[in-house]
Parts: sequence; structure tokens; C-alpha cells
Amino acid sequence: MSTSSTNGHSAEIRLREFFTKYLVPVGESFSNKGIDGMNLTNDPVSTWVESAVHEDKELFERERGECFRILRDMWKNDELNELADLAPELFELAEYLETIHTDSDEISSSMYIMY
Amino acid sequence: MTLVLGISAYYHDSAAAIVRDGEIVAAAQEERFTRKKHDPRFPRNAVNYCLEEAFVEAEELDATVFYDDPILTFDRMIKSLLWATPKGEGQWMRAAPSVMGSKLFISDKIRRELGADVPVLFTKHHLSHAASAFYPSPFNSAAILTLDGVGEWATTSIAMGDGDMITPLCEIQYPHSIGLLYSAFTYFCGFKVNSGEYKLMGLAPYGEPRYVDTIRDNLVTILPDGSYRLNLEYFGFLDSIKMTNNKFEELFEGPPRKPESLIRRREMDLAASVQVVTEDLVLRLVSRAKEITSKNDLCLAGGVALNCVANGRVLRESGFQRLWIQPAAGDSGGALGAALLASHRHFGVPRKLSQDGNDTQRGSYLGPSYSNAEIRAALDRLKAAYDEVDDCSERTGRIATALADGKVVGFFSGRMEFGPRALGARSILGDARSPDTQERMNLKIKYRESFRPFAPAVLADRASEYFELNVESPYMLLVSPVVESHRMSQPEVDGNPEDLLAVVKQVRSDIPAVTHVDYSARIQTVTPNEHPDFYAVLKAFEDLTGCGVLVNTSFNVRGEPIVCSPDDAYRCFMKTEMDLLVLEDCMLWKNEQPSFEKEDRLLEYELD
Repeated sequence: MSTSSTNGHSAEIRLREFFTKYLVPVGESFSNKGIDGMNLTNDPVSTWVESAVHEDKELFERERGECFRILRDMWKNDELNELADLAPELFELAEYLETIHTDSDEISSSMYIMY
Repeated sequence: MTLVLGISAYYHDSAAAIVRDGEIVAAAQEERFTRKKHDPRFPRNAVNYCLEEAFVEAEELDATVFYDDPILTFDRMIKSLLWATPKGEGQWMRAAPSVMGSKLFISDKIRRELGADVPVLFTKHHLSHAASAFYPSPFNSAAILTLDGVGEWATTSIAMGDGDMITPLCEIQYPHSIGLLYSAFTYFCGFKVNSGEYKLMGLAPYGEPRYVDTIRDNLVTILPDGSYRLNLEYFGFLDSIKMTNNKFEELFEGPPRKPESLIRRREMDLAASVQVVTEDLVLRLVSRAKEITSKNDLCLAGGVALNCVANGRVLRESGFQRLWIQPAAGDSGGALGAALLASHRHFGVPRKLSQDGNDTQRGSYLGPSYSNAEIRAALDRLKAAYDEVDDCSERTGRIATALADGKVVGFFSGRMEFGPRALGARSILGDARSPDTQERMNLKIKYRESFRPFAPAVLADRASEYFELNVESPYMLLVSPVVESHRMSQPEVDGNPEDLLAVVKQVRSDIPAVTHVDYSARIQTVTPNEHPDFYAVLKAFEDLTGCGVLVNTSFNVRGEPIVCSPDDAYRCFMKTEMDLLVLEDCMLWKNEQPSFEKEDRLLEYELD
């Protein structure tokens, strides 16, 4: 995380709290219900190729207010209601992080940059 | 006029590209300006350069396009973390600030950085890759295969291009990924993930693929149609901040190699094995692409498409008639793909194929150039000693003579390359015939590992005389064997056969500096059309020696981005044992230069 040291410390505390308070319970609930959220099993089928999702438009505009509404709707459609219910808290955290985050030039040497 | 700026950022190799009326004007990676290798930050320097090259202000842009959909990336991040809980806190702490604090609000960030209220468009990561491969290609119609670590969810995609239309057909989704599989072995063999994958590929020919069955039996299940799944019990990337876990270590007889420690037989064999599995997967996926598209031509992009050994096999074995690979196949090329996609699909600019049947990538010479006046000003400021030789024939003659005398030459000419390969605009050149060139260039000029091979630049019309290659390879993305007639019988290794350096020193052909341990070479074919000055140097060397091949390696040292400006080039020249520097018309001999503060080369840049 690249922020000033004071901001960085507060952000670290807030992120840890968020992880414990919100993400761990939802994760446990998903685990109990057998929800993976991803295709993890090597189930015997003839192919693991999935059809590409055809969108109306290959390019789209997206403004800041829309992000968490889209995510919430997407999660509701997937019947991931506990996650959808977290959307307001996630949005609040994102807005906070935006105010303190500065881009970092750090590149992990042990982990592919996936996010 | 339609003017579109493409941006890739926040993964690795952030970049910008600008397209005017569907034609590529400029493209560059941010690392070249900031001097931070693979810089992932917002590419403000690259954006400024693109606007400058197009001679426009940000307000004149019709749109800016971001190459990825941050919402879907966030969706993947949160689902991945929820699956991993109560583990995964380390990943959350690392990923959340960047994804939530920057990427989700990227529209605002782009407008702030540009200082202009331009429309900001988004597309999908693999569609950007596909567009980067198809639109600049010489094909009106083609199958498109994109392979990387991961985009939003897709890791492997097949699409079809027709005219200005790209139709995504099918995909394989995270966490199953060839790119992540290869990166896991990169990490385990002691190289840096996100940058050391090409070292693993270079190491592979030293090994025996004795772990292939272990990988297939335990790590990845491959179906006949090329679809595959990873066995996630062995990988750490879902729930830790490392690519592999304890179970992976147990499978491969011990912990990961420590970076910079001795490379042992195990690492060589692991590299060889994962290379075999990767090539097998790529070939199966290419067959699948052929089957479902029925096209004759194939386009490739995504980081895995930089695996030029696999590409060489695709060319020889896939059944496609022609192959075109985006030279900036990794994330940087996404900026170009996104800009082209918006031009053709959002603004309806018709796609124009090149009349001469060539691609429209312009040799990938899409970066900044410097005039002789700018170079003279830089050299005078640096108090450098130089000769200005404006007669091209005289200059190339002097360069060729120096090369034939065993000198190593820094060659800076024209617009900088877009993509990871130096193609004669920012190159270090050497004599491919000399048995000492590889070791000298690796250890005293590039300061990099001795096992790594160098690539040949060859006059296109003589390529088939030296290599088993019957197509042009202008972007150094194909590996082919040196032909039998240029090979030499191999003497016994003098010393320990496990010693990489002893193996490297064996002379395998009459162009030993570019002949890898398995007689392969990563080839750049050079024609007078794309880069006349570089062609002229090769031609002058051929006239002098009869040999139409030179060593061509990137103008940098280990850990440093390829040089961009004359200042970067002079600094690199002075801190290494290069003999001659050519900056356009200016020629500088090392032994004529004033003293230069020579810092510890290995400390200046973080090792890659």
C-alpha cells in the first residue's frame, strides 16, 4: 500500500477490521452453503471451455456511482445476497481508500499481479 | 478525424497508445520514461508522449479507453478472497488499496490526469488483447487466441476476427490459467514472477523434461479439446501471497530455489518440463481455435504469446497458413488494442488493411525519436566526445568494421520500439560469429545470468540460409533451429556437465553467440522497409564478413528498462564495457570519453 505513514497505518487497521468483520463471516457462510464463486472442481465433462459472454456493446462508459450498483445487482442475480448486502460498506471503504491511496511502483516478485 | 487514446495500467507494464482515424500514431510503455521496469502506475509520461507525437491536446480526444473492466476484476478479487477466508488477509491487504482506491474510480482518475473532460470507455481485458492482435495484422479474417495470467475472469480466449468485427467465442476462466501455471514455476525456480518468465523459457533447453508426467498427473488436467483445469491444492495464489505452497514443494523435492543462488539440475528440468506442458496446451488450444473458426490465419496475444518457443511450434505444427503475433503481447499491448477497438467498433472508422500485404504495426517502432540536433545538445551537455558522421554509408561501414573487430556497439536509431523486444532502434549489437561474444555481453555488458542466450538479427533474404525458417519474423517472436550446415559437432563439456557456464561456452555453430544449447535461435528478420538504418548496418557487416547475422540484444542492463533517450543511452554506455555508441549520426568511442562516475551497476537497478 502506498500512502503516507499515518494514513497508511489507519488504512491498514481499517482494512484488517473490514476483512475480519465483513469478509470472514460471508466467506464462512458461503463455505457452509458450498458456494465457491468460481469453477474449482475437476468434474468429469467433455470440455471446460465456457462460451464467451456476448455483450451488446464491446465498449461502455461507466461512472463512479454505478460501480457498486452494478456489482450489487450482479451478486443478487447470482443469489449471492450476503455479498450483495455488503455493497454499501464496500463502496464506503473504496471511497475512503481513494482519498488516501497513491499509486505504487512496487511489483511483487512472488505473486502474479492479478488485481 | 477520430482520435482515441488507449490506456493500460495498474497490473504490469502500463502503457498508452494513440490512434488517429484507425491508424496507429504512437505507443509507449511508461517504464521507458520513469526508468522503473514494468512500471504499473498510471502512464502519465506515455500519455504525454502520445499526445505530443499526435500533436494534439487532451481536449481534442474523442475518447480515452481503459483496457480492462475494473468491476469484473473486483468481482473476481472479492469472490477469490471469500473462498480463501479465513486465510487470504495478505492478499486483501495488498490488493484492496489498488483495486478499490484506484481502479474502480479510474474514469475520474483519467480525467484528472488528462486535465480534460473526455469520454472514458471501458472494454474487456482479453478483447483488448484480441484487438491488439487482429487489427494490426495483415489478415482480413482470422482466428484469435489470447492467453495470459488472467484478465477479469478470462485466462484463455478464442475469438474470430472478420473485417472490423471481433467475435469472442469461448474462454477458460480463472483460477485455471496457463499463464499462472508458468508463473508458478517461474517463482519456484527462483525467478521473479511478472518478469522472469522468459528466463525460465531460456533455461528450459538445459534441462530434461523428467517432470512432465508429474505435472500432468498432479497439477493440470488437460482434456483432448485443449481445455484444462489446475489442481488448486498445489498453488498458493488463491489464499497466500506466493504462487506455490507446501504441497508443491513436496511434489518437487524441496523448497523453491532462492533467487540468485546456484541453478541446479532440478530447476533446469522443471523449466524443461513446464515448457513441454505449455507447448502441448498451446498447440491443443490452437487446434481448437482452428476447428471452431475454420480460418486459415491465426493471431496471438496475451503474455503467453511471448513464449516464442511455443510460437515456433505453432507456426510449424498448427495447420494455420499464417501467424501474426502482437509484438507488445503483454498488458502494454492492451492499450493499443483498446484504442483500435474503440476506433473501429465505437466510432465506426473502417479498418484499412495495408496495400502491400504487410501488417500495420509499423515495425513496432512507435515510440519517441530524437533528432541529431537534440542528440548533439544532450552530448554537449554531458561533455561527451563524439564524431558526427552524416554519410550513412561511411557510418555503417565504421560500425561494421568495429563489430567485425569484436567490438560491442550500442545502436540508437529512430523511434523506440513498443513491446519488450529491441528491434534495432534501441539495441546492443555484437558479432554472432565470435565464441566469446555471449559470455562477454552477458557478464560485462548486460550484467545478467550467463546461461541466457542472445538473439540474432538476420538479413531477411538470408534467414533460411542460417535458420529453419521460411517466413519473416520481424518482431523476434519465433524460435527456429539453426540449419544443420551451420552447426558444429559438439565437443565434450570441459568441466562439470552440470555447470551452466561450461555448457554455455561450447561452440555449437559458426554463429555461436546466437545458437542456444538446443541449436535454437529467437530470430529477427530484417528488411530495408521497416528500419533502413539497421538494415544498412547488417548489410555492411555482410559485405565485410560474408555473414548476414548479428547479435541483437536490448539496450539496457539487467533490471533496467530499455533506454529511451540519448541521456539514458549514454549513461548505459558509460557504465558498461560497450566499445562504441551510435546515436543517430553521432559516434562515440568509449576510450575517448571523459571520466564518468561509475556506480555499482548491480545496485543501481533492482535485479529482475
